[in-house]
Amino acid sequence: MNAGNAVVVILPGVVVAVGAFVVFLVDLFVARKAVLAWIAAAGLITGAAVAVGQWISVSNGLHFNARKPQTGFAGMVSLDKYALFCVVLFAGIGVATIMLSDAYLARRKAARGEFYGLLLLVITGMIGMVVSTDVVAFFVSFELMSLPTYVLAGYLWRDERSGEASIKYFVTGAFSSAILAFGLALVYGASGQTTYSGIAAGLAKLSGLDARGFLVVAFVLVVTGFGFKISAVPFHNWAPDVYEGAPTPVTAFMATGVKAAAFAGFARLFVAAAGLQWQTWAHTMTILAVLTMVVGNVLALPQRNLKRMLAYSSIAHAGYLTLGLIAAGTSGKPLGIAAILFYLFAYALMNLGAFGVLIWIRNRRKFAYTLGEIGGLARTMPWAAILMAVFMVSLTGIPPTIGFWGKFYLFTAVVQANLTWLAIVAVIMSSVSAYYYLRVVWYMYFREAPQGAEMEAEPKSSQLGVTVAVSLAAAGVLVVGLFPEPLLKAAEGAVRLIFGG
Amino acid sequence: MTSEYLTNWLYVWFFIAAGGALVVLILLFSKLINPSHLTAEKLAPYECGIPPVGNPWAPFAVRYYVFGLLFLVFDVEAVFLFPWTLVFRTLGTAGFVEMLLFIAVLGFGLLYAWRKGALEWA
Repeated sequence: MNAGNAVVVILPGVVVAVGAFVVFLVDLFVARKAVLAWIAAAGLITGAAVAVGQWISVSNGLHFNARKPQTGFAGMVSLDKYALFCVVLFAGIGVATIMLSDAYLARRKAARGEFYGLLLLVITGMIGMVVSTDVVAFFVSFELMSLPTYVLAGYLWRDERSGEASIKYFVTGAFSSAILAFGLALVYGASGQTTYSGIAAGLAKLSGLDARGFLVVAFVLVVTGFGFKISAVPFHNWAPDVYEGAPTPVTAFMATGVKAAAFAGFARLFVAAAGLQWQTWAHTMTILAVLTMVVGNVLALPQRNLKRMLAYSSIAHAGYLTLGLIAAGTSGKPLGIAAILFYLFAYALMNLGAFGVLIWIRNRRKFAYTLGEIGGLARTMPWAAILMAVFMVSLTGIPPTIGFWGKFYLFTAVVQANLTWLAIVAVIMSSVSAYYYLRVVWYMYFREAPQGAEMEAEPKSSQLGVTVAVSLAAAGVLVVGLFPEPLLKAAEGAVRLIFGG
Repeated sequence: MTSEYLTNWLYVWFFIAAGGALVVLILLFSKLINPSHLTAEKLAPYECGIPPVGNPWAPFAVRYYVFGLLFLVFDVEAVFLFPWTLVFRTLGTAGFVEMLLFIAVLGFGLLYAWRKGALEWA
């Protein structure tokens, strides 16, 4: 394997990383910062285009062997449809975040180049996480994703809450990274290998009670690191504070992008490296999923702050997503992972949209993100209210939206793995969630606007980016909600190879 | 394999236990036999240094931090460069290009620091 081939394997990530450097460089010499958003978006779109090209090549066996993934750097990275699917998803989330950020940052007088550069570096790390087939490369990518996110959370550093969010996220995040590193070190100690396939082979040779205890400790540590990143209960306490304090576009990105990368990356690690040892971590994951669904949904009920409500809702969705891992682990079939990919896509659309509407309102008037303040939104901003209603219905999981199909595939995978009771818990919990999602719709349509919620004149900075991004997300929610087949086929195609097919 | 693995580490566990026990023993022993007559002088943080003046929570120039970071960057560069020179021949062109990329990224960081005014002391 020569170096050229290895670069081809990580090409989408390289393109995005180069984009980050170009943004930083242009920022140094250009006074008008508006161009930086375009450069960053161009970098992401180029990265996604490369990934789409590679997907077609893999499908048609043009330059790659469709049966065997192309690997590079001594098996540390692998180019396959799973990684490419995620690259396109991450780039899409990134472009949407840029569209949501532009007017918001201009209004907060915080339009500096570092924002887009750091965003692209986070996405580089996210791509690295799904491309990695080695725990060392995985951990480095994990850190590359995490570190700029801490900075982005504190990006509005004059705002105390933003600083608080950054510090809280940093301390808990660094702590969880350390725990994850311990877990990975123990996995290495047990198997003597760092590549996923090597770990799977090494663990298969272990036997006896000693080995089992050893693995339980290792997996509990790895799952803890994973749980922190996806904000699963009981590792969720940082999420509401950080989501509330961080700049809203960053919150939208953390809730969708970082979570998607954590799920996609860890799903690969769990399946490829530890799939055969499922019995040793089944209980941990099941307890984690049930707790996360119940606590996330129940604690979302009393929230009057919309950002906090969406934070608890994102905890609850992390619980649903964990079900996919459990289904895949128990049944050994790829449907659970395909359902996760589909759900990540759906969740990104509806959550970016919901946060986008909040940003949209915030750009037009004084807005502290409380529930009372969106009263009467249907009259003051009718288009925003309709779109918000679409996202809330989709987050609840009501057809004909993408959220319904996401939950449908996930719960189908769970039932097919003979874990019907788990699916029942999930369905009950998602009907609980209807209360706090649909309450938003109720406020927008059936409550009067509060005093002093007058619209300011259209701001100087154009809202076009936000409007287009939110409208596109709503269109995606509805179109894929009506025709889910192509996306599901793509997700199923993406997971075929990582299941040792 | 695993039981062997654990017994191999038995020495380390003994060592940790013995080390801990030694610390406790020494502290306990000195506590028991040491006469204790505390004065204000003796309770000062540095009994035989400069007398402490003022609040230690005074603000200090954040620039030290920026310089510290820059120093760290080039420190790490040196750490990577020295082993690289030893295996330069075996790495071939790819190794050379990779190191050039690495230095270019670091140089870019310096450019960034310079343009952002991190190198100015005022």
